[in-house]
Amino acid sequence: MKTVLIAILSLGTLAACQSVPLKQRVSTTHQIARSAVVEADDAERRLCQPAPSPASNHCTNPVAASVGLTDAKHQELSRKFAEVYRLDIAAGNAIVTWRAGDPVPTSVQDFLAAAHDLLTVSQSVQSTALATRLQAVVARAQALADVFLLR
Amino acid sequence: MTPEQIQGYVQIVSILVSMGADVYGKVGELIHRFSPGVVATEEELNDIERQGIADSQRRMREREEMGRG
Repeated sequence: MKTVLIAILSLGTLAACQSVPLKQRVSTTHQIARSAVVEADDAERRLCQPAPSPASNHCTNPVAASVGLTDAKHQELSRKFAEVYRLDIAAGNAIVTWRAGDPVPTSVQDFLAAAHDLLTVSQSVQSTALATRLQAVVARAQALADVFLLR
Repeated sequence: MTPEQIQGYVQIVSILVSMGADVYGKVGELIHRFSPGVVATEEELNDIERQGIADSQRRMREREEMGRG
């Protein structure tokens, strides 16, 4: 239900921008999706290590393991986040070099698939804050794919 | 307004609040900056994308470190 509402809000915003050039719509939607990934990334880091510290594969928060965020789960999520960022970089580079009339960059769909995987991997972690942010990632990545379909 | 409608609006508000002000601050900035009628130059769009790419590269490296077993 929450995912549907978020998707509706995203698409509603997008529908209001039909007059804006396609590349601008794509870039704006991509940045919104990227912001959601960053928010989810930061939420997982805070849950794992509340105090700022160098990147670590070990969670120091005593609450983390009790909600399912074990060191193994944190490492698995980290590998998924790395993959999402890799595809986000590819999508960003594709948007920068994209010119009117060029074929739609396929990296956007890859980014969407990776965002879905991130949500799937996180399902065993009992954190509403993290789950809500990851659902937002999926919804915004879907909105990005929809922009391409609406061109 | 029906109870179901009220529940729906409450859910929307709770979603917005739970997602945190930071995300919507960024979203608001982007929507305001590139609202209908405001056409950004291609260079402006590319600059924002490049900033995002640089930040994602840093985060990707950090997550690769965190992902080591």
